[in-house]
Amino acid sequence: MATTSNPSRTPRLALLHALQAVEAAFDRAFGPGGNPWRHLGALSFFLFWVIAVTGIYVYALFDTSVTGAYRSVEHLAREQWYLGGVMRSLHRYASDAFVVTMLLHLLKEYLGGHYYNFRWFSWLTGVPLLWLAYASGIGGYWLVWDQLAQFSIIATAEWLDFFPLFGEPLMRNFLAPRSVDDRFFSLLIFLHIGIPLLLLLGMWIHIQRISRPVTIPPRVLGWGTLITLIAVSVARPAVSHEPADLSLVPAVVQPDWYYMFVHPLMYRLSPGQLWAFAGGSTLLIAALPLLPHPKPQPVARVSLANCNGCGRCFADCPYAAVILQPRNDGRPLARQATVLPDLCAGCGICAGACPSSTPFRSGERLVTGIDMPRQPIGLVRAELERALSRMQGTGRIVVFGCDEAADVKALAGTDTAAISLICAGMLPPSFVEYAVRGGAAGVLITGCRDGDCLYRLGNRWVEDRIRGERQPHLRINVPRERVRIAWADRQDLAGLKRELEAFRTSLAALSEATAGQARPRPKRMGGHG
Amino acid sequence: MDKPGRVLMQLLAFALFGLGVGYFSASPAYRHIEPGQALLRVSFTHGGQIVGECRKLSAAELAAKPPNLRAPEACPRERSPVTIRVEVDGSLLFEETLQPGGLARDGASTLHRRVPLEAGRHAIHAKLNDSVKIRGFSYERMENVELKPGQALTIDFIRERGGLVFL
Repeated sequence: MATTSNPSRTPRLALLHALQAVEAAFDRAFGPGGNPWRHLGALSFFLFWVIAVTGIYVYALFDTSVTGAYRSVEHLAREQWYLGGVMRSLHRYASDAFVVTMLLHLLKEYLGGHYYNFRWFSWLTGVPLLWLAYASGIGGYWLVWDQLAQFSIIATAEWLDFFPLFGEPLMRNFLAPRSVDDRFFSLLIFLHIGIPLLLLLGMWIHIQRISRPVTIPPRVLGWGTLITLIAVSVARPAVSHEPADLSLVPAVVQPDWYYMFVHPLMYRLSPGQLWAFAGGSTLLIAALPLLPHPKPQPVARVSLANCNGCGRCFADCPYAAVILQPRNDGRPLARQATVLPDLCAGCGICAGACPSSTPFRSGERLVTGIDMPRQPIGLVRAELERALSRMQGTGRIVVFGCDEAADVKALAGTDTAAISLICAGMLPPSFVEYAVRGGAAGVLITGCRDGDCLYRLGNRWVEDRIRGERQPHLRINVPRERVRIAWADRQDLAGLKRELEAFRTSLAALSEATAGQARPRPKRMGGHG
Repeated sequence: MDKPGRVLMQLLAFALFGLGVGYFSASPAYRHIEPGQALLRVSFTHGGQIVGECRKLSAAELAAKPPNLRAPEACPRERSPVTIRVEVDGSLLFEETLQPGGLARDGASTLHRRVPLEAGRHAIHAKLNDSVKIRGFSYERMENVELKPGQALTIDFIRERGGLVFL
C-alpha cells in the first residue's frame, strides 16, 4: 500500500528533526565522521566482539556445576579481580551497551523511515535480533546461579509456562533446592553460546543487502567506548547476589534493567499481558513495512547503447542493486550492467558513477549508460545550461544539492544557480568542470551530513571523486579552489548559506588573482573547448 | 569548536554513556515481595481419574477389529477435572478446578500459583479432588508451618508420596 501524503507533519518526522538536532550537537564534539549516532550499527558489532572475547575468558574459568558455578564466578571476581573481575564486568557492561546501541539503532532507522520499500529486508531481519539479543543476555545471568539468576530464571519459566508448550511446566524444575543438577548448567552453557552464535548469524544476514556495510566504528568511538566500559568495570565491578537457594524467594534484587525490565513488568502485569506486549511489539515492528508509506522511487534504467560494462555503477551502488552480466546485445563487449529492481533505491548514485554521464558529449540529447527516470542526466545538463545562461554577475556559483538534505532551491538568486539532485552521489564530477568552464566562478556541492547520507554512500563517493580518488574523478585541470563541499541536513540551511557566502568571498579573492586567464567554454555553449 | 573543547565534549559524552550503562546495570533495586512476606506456591501436574468405566467387548466387536488390536476391554480416555482448594488459617485462599489437557481431555491437569503470605505461623489446609465419582475431596493435607520472611513453601502433588506434599 502506498500513499503520497505529506510526511513532514507526522510525529515520526517531528521526532526525526529532534534527533537530528541531537546529532548536530554530537557533530560539534565528534565531527560528522565520528558521530556515534551515525555508527550505532557498527558500535553494536564492535560491542558484540567485546562480549565474545570477554565471554571466552570467563567461560575458560567457569565451572559448569550447581555448586561450582557460583563459586567459580566469585573466585574470578575476587581472587582475580584485576583481570577476571574486569573481564566479567566488561562482559556485562558491554552487553548492556549492546542493548543501548541496538535499540537506538532501531529507533534511528525507524525515525529515518528506513523500513519500507527496498529496505524491508534489512528491517525485517533485524526484528529477530531483538529476541536473540535478549535471550543471550538474560541467559548469561542464569549462569552465575545467584539469587538474581534464581529470580530471573523463575520469572522466565513462569512467563514461558503461560503457553502449555511442554508436558510439564518449566517452573516445576525450580521448586525445591535439589531440583537442578549439573546437566542443567551444561544446558545453560549450550544456550548461552548457541544463542549468541545465532545472533551473530542473524547480524550477518541483516547486512547482506547493503554493500560495504560498516561493522567497525571509527577509532575514536571504538577506543572511547572500550575505555569507558573498562573504567565502569573498575569503578563499579559486577558483583553476584547471595547464592541461589530455591527454598527462599529473593525479596530484593538488583536487576540489570537493560535486560531484566521484563521480569518486574510481568509481575506488575501478568504473564499473558507480557506476552501480549512482547508479541504485539514484535508484530508491530515487523509489520511496519506493510503500513502506508511513500511510493518506491522509479528504479535505475540501463541504456545498453551507452553502457560499456565498465562496472563503476556496480562498484558504487550502496545496495548491491546493480550486477554485471554477460553481454546480450551483440556488441563486442564482455559485460553489461543490469539493475535488480527489488533492491534498487532509485538514488542515482549509479548515474553519477557512469562515465557516459558527461555533459561534454556533443549529442543534442544526452543519454547515459544507467540513468534515473525521474531525473535523467540529460535533463540535469539542460537545467545546468539554462542556469548558466541566466546567471549574472562576476561571482556566479552553481550549487548542486540533494533532495534529502538542505533545500538548495532557497539559495537560488541572480548570481547563484541551484540544482537539486536525488542524491549528491548522483553528481558526475564532469558536471563540475562543465559548470566552471561554462562561466561559473565556483561550484558548491552539498547533501546529507557526512555519515548520514540517506543512501549511505552518496556523500562519501562525491568526496572521493572530487579528490580524484575514485572513478569517475574530477579532472585535474579544474582548480580545486573553485569547488567546495559543504554537507548540510534539512535543519542546517542557515549554515549552508553562511558557507555559500564564505565561498563567494574566497572566489572573489581568487578572481582578482587570476584576472585575465581565460577558461575554454564547452563547445555546446559556443566556446572552443 | 576548538580541539580542547571538542575533546572535553567527547569525554563528557563518554562519561554520561558510562554512567548510564553502569547505573541501570544494577540499579535501582527491585522488591519482589514485601518485607515480612513469604511465598506460597501451589504447583502440580496430575492426571485425574478416568471418567468412565472399562467395558468388555462383545465377540462381534472383537472380530471386527484387526487381530493385533483385539484388546478385550475398551476403556474411555477422558480424565476427571482436578479441583484444588487451599485454606490458610481457616480462610479460603483459593479454589480452582483444572480441566484435563489434550484434545481428548486425557492429559494431566496442571497448576502453578504463587501467593505471598505474611511470615509467621499458619495453618495451611490443602484439599484435592481428582475424580468426578467422588463428592468432596480425595486428598487432604493440613500442616502448621512457621514461615520465615523470604521463605518459599511449595504445595505439590506426588502420588508416590501419598498425594499432597509440602516442600
